[in-house]
Amino acid sequence: MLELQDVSLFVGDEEAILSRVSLKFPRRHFAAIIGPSGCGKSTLLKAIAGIAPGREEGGIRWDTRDLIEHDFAPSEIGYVPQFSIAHEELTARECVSAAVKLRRRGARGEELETLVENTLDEVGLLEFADRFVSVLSGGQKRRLALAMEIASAPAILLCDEVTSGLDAQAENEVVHLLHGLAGHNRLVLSVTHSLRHLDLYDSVAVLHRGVLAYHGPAAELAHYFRIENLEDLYGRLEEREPADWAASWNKHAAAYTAEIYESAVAEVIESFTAEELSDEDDSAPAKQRHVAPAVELPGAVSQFVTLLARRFRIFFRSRGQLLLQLGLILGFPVLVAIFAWNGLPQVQNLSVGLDLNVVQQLSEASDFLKQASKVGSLVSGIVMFQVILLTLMGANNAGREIAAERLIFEKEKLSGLRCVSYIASKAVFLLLLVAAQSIWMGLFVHFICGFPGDLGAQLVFLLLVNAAMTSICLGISAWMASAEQASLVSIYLVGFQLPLSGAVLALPDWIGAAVRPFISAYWSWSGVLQTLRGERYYDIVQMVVQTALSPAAKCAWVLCIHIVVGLLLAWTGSRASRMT
Amino acid sequence: MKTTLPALLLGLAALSATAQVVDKPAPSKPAPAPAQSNGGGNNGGGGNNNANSQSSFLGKDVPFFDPDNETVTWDGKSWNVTNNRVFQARFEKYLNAPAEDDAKAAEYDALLAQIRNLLRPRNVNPTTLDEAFSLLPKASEYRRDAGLCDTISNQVYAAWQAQQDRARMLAATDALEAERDRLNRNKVVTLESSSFSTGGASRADQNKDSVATRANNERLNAQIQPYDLRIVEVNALMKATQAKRALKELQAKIEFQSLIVQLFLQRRFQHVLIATGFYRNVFNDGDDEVQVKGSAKDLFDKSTGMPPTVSTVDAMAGEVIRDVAEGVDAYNYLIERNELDSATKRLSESFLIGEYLPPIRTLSRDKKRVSLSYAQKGNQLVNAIEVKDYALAEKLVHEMEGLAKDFDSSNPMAAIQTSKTIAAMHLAKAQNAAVAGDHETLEAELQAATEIWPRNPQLADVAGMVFSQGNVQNKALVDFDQLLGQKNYRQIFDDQGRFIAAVAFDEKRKAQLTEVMTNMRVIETAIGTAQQREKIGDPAGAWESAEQAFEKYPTDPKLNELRADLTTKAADFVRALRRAEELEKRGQPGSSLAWFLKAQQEYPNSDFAREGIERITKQILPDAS
Amino acid sequence: MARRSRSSFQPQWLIAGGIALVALFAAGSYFFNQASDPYRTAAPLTVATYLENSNSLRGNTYRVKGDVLNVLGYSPSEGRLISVGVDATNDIVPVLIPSELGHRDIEKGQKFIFLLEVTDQGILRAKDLTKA
Repeated sequence: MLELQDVSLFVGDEEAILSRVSLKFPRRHFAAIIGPSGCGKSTLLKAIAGIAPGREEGGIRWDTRDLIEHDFAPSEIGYVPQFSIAHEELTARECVSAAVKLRRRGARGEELETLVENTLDEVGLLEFADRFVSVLSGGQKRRLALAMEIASAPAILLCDEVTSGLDAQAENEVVHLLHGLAGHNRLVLSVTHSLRHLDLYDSVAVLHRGVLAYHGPAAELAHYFRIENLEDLYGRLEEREPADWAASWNKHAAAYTAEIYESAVAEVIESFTAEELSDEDDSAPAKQRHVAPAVELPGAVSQFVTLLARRFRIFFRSRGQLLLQLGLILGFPVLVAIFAWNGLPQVQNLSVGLDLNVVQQLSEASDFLKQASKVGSLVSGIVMFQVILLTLMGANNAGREIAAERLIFEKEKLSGLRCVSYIASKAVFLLLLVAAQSIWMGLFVHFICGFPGDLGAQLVFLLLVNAAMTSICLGISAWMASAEQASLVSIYLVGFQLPLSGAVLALPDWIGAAVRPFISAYWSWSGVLQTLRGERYYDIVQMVVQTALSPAAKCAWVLCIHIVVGLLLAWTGSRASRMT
Repeated sequence: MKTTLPALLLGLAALSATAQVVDKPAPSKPAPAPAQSNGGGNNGGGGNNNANSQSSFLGKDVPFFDPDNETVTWDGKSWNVTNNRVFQARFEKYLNAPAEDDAKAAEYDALLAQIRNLLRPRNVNPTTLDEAFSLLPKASEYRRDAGLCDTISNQVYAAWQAQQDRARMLAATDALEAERDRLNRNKVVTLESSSFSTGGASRADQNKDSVATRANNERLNAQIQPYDLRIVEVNALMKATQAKRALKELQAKIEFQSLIVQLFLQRRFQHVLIATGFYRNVFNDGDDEVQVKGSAKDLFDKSTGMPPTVSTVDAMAGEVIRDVAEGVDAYNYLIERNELDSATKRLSESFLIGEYLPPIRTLSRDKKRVSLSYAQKGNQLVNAIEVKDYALAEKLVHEMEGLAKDFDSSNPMAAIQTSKTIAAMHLAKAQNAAVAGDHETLEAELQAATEIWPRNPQLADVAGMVFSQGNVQNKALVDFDQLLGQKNYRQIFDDQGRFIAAVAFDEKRKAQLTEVMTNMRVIETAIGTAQQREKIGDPAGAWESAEQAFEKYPTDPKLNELRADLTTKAADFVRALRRAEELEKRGQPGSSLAWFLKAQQEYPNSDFAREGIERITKQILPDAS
Repeated sequence: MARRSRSSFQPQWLIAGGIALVALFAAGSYFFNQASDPYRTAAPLTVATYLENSNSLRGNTYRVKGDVLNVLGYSPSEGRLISVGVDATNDIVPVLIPSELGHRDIEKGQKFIFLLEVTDQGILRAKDLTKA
């Protein structure tokens, strides 16, 4: 039984979204939560799920446990949000399969397939199983969502407006589906706008401005509210203040609740009998059969693998992404190589010795400076260009990574997805991208431009900077409210890399000292230039750049720290709840 | 005769004066001067020879009077007649001296008069002659006589001696003559005997004809030759004897004549009359031409125009005596009329000639003193003019004008003015020459001016100016040498105007000055370069320019000052350089090189730094290429 | 606060994490700075002392970081004598690059860290050099 006792929810300054809502639902029940827009229906659902923003008061109990102390296990609750929780690039089967793998330990092979089939069948999507989510209709998507939620066989299924936006038939189908899902010893709470099909519901809860106005059988609704038609309900509700309705309900609550409860108990007995008769397994004790065994979550590694595989699948299925990445990987190095397509120019060295007169020396020094500044700028510029492009790629890699699928992630987090696995899968996925980008960039420029220096070390630094930026942008992605915001911030971060690196203009010492630790581009640029130590270019670049170079090891160290920081940022950001 | 007499007398006076005092010879340097200066110096120098050649007569010198220069040369000395200081002194002495009118003087005069009287032609006979002769020694006793009467008597005696010898000479001559006659006779005889043998053929034929004739002639010649020879000898002897006789006689005569001349020249006219008196009576051959030659003869020639004879001399002596007496009378007369000039002239003339004559001797002192001061002044004037003290001379002239009414100042004044003018001209020329820097002309003109008028007051000024200039020049040269020794080229350079003028004619110093100017030009160029570099903000380069010059010319103050100033301005550079050099000396090439490099850093164009670096590099890398 | 958001984030962990990161960064920087400094154990040359009296430093080993300014001389047996502008001060010191290090490419304007030994004459003789 789900019991809400005087649950109130405050947001901001004492604005009550929910006000002393008390409800009871039996375990096997199909209830509707209706009310005018903004009455707090979805909020109530979220409060039950434990993802409502704001300050809660009151208590919610499932069976006998206080959810505050012992919250739902991810497998106990299913929550179907208003938004889509399926990746467009996947098929229905794949979505369900992933959902199963993420929520059920040990689901693999044939067992998995069977489960997936059954689930799809249960929601009536079997014939559309191999269709991409992007081509499913609204109703189908809702079914898919339901399928993904029931993959873990939750005891409670919370559905938030799953019928909104559907045509009458689809709505009919979905409601019937939900009704059917509720029959499997499941509490299904469905927030709905629609007043049709209320007869299918076991009970209806009516909310009015955060206040519970009625909770009882649908048949009694008209009577309670003294309305002829149900369509008049919302109008009727407006006739009185919420407090009045609440007061009225308080008087009648017990009666109606008992009625619900009685019918619920009857249902339980019936089901119990049916199950006993149909059950082939004699070993399981009778009581235990009523309570579906809690589904165990898979291990972090399993989740990581699932996510990684899914991510790759999605990546290779999204043509745009693919092309973009190819374009970046192949195009950016060419952009760099253009500046030194025929190799780096050699530098005429200064004459040494005292036999030159001052004028000659100065003239030579001036010529040397000119060409040195050109060559030095070229070398430094090429390095910096590589670095900046890689940071750009990094930002592009990770900027939207989390933010773009945040809701899905939040949903999956609700369903038991571990942040660690999630972040790890992101990291590995991005790492592979980073490696491809960086290594190709380094190799291309090295061979096409004849860029001197230790290639291996250069590749390391290029990889590190890309990884660092990717990591940090991943962290940004995890913290930003929207993908656009995350993208913007990531781009700004890239934008600041060049000026604050000091490669072009030397920063004042104190600013440089304060800022430089955070500028990955500087460290990578410095590290790459250090690989030129054995070359003449090293000196020339040193002459030209006004910022001191740092030792290679230190550069690598700092970049590694950046990577770590980014990952930590991503992890902490992912742990925050963003289910809006 | 009268007109030339004064000249003669003057000459004689001068000549006689030489008996007492001999003047010193005139200066030998020829100089244009008024007529009063001694121009007979050369004559004096060669006077000896002249005297010897012209006026030595029988071994004795005869004074030579040169009327043109109015000088008298005698015994190797010459002096001017008209301003003879000796004569002047004597004249003044005479004017101061008391008159000789004492008894003794009167006695002596009377004695001489007596002797003369005895020898007058109308009175003379052998007795008077002998008497006169005996009075001579008596007159000699008087001091005033100075032994002249004794001399006369000796001479007379010698003449008589010669005459006695003459008789013997005649006898000898007769004997010789007889001998010659005899020889002649012998020769004729011989000739006659030989002519018979030849037949009296003409000599011409004999010469042309046969050898026998010639041999015959030869024999004849041989026979008569001894006779010829002897005849020749006899003739010679005769002639010698005659000559000897004549010579002796002549000698006596000449000696007597020379005595007379001498007495005449000595202005002892009374004695001359006595001597001529004796002469006439001793040598009564009528030939009384004085046998004198040379200058004495000239003297007489020029004075009288006639050959000198004893009579002439006698007459002249008489005239002189008369003249002197007249002169004294004139003097007395002129004194009274206060015509001192004429009077003194008269008296001096008379004194000059007749110093020993009674009118002169007996002139009273008072009268004499009247013209003493005048004479003294005159003498002073003469002296002043002689020493060319024209200022004093002019003063004296004016005084004399005051003293004597008839003093003719035009002559002395003319001389004075002329001299003064000419001296002034020379001074002006000298001044011009001084201005033009013509030292030779300057010296010459100064000298001329000095010679003409030594006591010219302007001379002191001009000379002072010139000498000061000369002093200035000398000072400049001294300064130049001093500064040169100190190597103080700067001072020389600053005063170059002065020094250029001073060394213009000194080739050695001129060369030195040129060298100094060249050096200074180098220094000035270096200073200019240094200042230029400093102006464009290159104090190190400026210092180096100054330092390079300083090494060659360490004593120039301006350069020193600039260098010190620049050392402050280019302190870092100089300090680096100094440290480098110091460390190099101390044998620390590493540090030294570092400092040189630093110096070069301060001033990249530094020669010093570059050289230092090269030096030490070579030290560190001896085989460096 | 929603139940799910409650214990998700504790500030003290954040602060601790930040501090740890800073510490890591600092430690790493220091360590790597040290590690990347060649001739770390050699004392830096006191140029002032050297300029004063180079002989007093005979036999010692120092390190100097500076730019190559000029080659003052070359000897096949001794090596190259170069002038080095010391970074820290504005001084110039002469450095002898012996012939053993003749193979090293030393160009004007390059910055090196020299390991120097002071010879008997007070010359700085390079034992080793590395680009700075």
